[in-house]
Amino acid sequence: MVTELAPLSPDLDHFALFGFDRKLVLDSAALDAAFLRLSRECHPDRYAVAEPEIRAVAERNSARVNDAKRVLSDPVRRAEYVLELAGVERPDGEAKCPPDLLMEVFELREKLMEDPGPELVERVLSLFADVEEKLDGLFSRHDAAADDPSRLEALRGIRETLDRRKFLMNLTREVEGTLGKP
Amino acid sequence: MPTVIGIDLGTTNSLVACMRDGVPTVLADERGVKLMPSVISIGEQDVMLVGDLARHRRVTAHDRTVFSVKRFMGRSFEEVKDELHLLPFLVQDGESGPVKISLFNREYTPQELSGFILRELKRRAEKALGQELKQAVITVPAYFNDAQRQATKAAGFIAGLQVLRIVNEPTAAALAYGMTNRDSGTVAVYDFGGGTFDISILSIKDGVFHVLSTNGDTHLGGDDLDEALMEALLPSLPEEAKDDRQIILGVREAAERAKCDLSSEMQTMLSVEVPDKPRIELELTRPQLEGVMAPVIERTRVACENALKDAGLSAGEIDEVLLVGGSTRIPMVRALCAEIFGREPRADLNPDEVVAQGAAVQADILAGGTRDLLLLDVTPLSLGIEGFGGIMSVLIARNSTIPASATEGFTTAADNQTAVVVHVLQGERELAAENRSLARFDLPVDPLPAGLPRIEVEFLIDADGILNVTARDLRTGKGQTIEVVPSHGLSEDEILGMVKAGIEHGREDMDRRWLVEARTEAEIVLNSARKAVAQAREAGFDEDRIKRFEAQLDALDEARKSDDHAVIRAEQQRFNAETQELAGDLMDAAVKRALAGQKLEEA
Ligand SMILES: Nc1ncnc2c1ncn2[C@@H]1O[C@H](COP(=O)(O)OP(=O)(O)O)[C@@H](O)[C@H]1O
Ligand SMILES: [Mg+2]
Repeated sequence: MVTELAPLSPDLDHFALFGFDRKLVLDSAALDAAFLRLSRECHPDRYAVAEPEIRAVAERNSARVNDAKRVLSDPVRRAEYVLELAGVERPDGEAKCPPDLLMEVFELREKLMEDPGPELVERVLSLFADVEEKLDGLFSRHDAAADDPSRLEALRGIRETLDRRKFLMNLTREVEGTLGKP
Repeated sequence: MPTVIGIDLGTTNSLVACMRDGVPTVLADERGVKLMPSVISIGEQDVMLVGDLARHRRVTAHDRTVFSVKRFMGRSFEEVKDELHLLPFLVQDGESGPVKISLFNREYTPQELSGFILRELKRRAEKALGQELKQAVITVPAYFNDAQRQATKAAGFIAGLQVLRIVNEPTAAALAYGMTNRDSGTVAVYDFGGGTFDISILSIKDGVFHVLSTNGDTHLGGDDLDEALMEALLPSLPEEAKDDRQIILGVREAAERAKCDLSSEMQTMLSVEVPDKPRIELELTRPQLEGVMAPVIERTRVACENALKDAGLSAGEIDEVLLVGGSTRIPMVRALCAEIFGREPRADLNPDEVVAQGAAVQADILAGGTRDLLLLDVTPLSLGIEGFGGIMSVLIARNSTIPASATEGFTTAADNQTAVVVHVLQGERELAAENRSLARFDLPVDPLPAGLPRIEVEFLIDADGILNVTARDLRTGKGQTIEVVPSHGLSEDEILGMVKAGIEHGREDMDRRWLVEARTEAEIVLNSARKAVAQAREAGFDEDRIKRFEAQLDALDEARKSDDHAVIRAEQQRFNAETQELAGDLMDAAVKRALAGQKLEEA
């Protein structure tokens, strides 16, 4: 029976916990492998007959691993997390729809009311694909950055693009709500 | 290493199992029966009868018998009130506590009643294994919420068991399946039992059982099929029968029997039998039954589709479909399942035993026996708190791997406020009011100007799927654990009180228990034998042989009055042995129907 169990260090961020560098492009097989290794170590099943204090530590450690896995395995949440770690904030504090997108959204909404057809779905999907592509490029730029200033620049771009993505998501939902799922 | 048992605490039937020489083994009672009906009845001298004996008293002692208790675990009166009219026992609002179920001369919480079932299973396992048992794993429907899980855990404690883990039933089934089928792949477990429906999708690889998603309905099962059939039958019953609780119960029994018959037959005679009342008989065909059942069975489809969606899979990506639960014996259910997943479900699992076997495997993992398997389960429902404007703000999304946690900061809105109210919710709706309210608690804060206190609250869903809350004052660094008593649940003190009562109950006079059990069993045999005799007479069976049989019956009836359980048991055994052939002939004499469902030995 286990008589001692240390809490995972609170100083480790999600990447460090999994033994990874702070990169935005992650190999999902490596992530899964690291997750399983940590889970086998931390899972409360291993400590079920131990003292209550040890069981409590195991629950918390395991939750930590699972929480980290949830963030790391989703590219968007992963990016948001890195922005948070790097302390990158929006210029004026809150997410705002970029002006060009605002125009676009405005027009699309109007069309949606008048003539909701399949071209509309196409249009939204292509806007969405653009954003995803841009994000991928920025992720790679971030990971390849040679110094802090260029990394920070990539992160600022990511901040803006993620917000753009969010507004588009809402629009997609609206279109789906009117037209049914494409 | 002390043995840890695995328990499948079902709505209809319960089982206990443990690992024996590396094989998960369901433990049988003295007569070799593995399934124990989840029925409780107060017998003579206030002895609590559980299982088969109680099951046989459902109609004859209807005012002293309760069943389907699991339907009430962790539920508020509001949630269950619409289904009470078809149940013969009284269920009352417990206000902020659990509902109260009247059983003969007392009221019980569902936790206590489930505790009786668990205690009986514990006793059975101790007898089979010849050792005292203290630790258990108990299974619950995957879709059970926090309150229902806590109620199950409390029931375990009340029964004198340390509950090492609450395991999800479909996950347990997958574990038992994966023990013998070591291939990797994606499996869907379709669990349709007596009271609940679950669908879980798992990936199995290298001994890791990873639940990808789960969905279901904790109020959808064979009971609902019985009730749908009852509702359909009521118009064809004689007028005076409709308000008679005992007849309604007789109809329930007959409906269930007919439903089960029609899983293998195309038509059957539904016969309602109530002591001292005329028998009611109706013809029923499988298509007729299917017409009644279709809307209920169809309700499982959307849950399956949602589970697939959450797992990010299409039906074609499922490698195996496992069927669990008694209601999956229904051909219509199998057909629907095959249709949804586009493949025939596996037919080689025992749908009754596989959950208990899986619980035994999990018990062995926890005890430290099995070491190469790892189970990663999920929380079925999103957890959140009520935010501004009555909107639920999600902290931990459904289908997150557990244990899982989230932290949230709180502060005050008014000067010198000494508490902040936190309202914890579980469910998928946007509006707080439309989700299940898990708990509402006060977070104590030091009186300070508004906005100055900073309390960080951690919500942790543990490996049992149960919420734990701790709060930390970020200004002082002071931490505290908050006891979250679920709405309509029991506090720790209340549970401890019941545990104490349970220990006293455990010290009951065993001689008295055995005596009452022996008498009850003899009584059940006598009842069904007398019925057979009457029908054999009607059918013109040889009167001499009937007379001889009746003489034997009288002897057993006489022995039943003895105060020594050994005497009754011996007489019962003699009776069984000597009348075996005659009883067989009696049955053959066109009275098969009368004895069906009354066969105590096989029930
Ligand atoms: N042959 C059958 N055909 C149809 N239904 C059946 C059959 N056998 C059992 N059942 C139903 O299965 C249910 C019990 O299943 P079970 O898995 O033991 O439930 P639970 O796990 O909820 O206790 C009951 O509703 C019973 O009527
Ligand atoms: Mg079951």
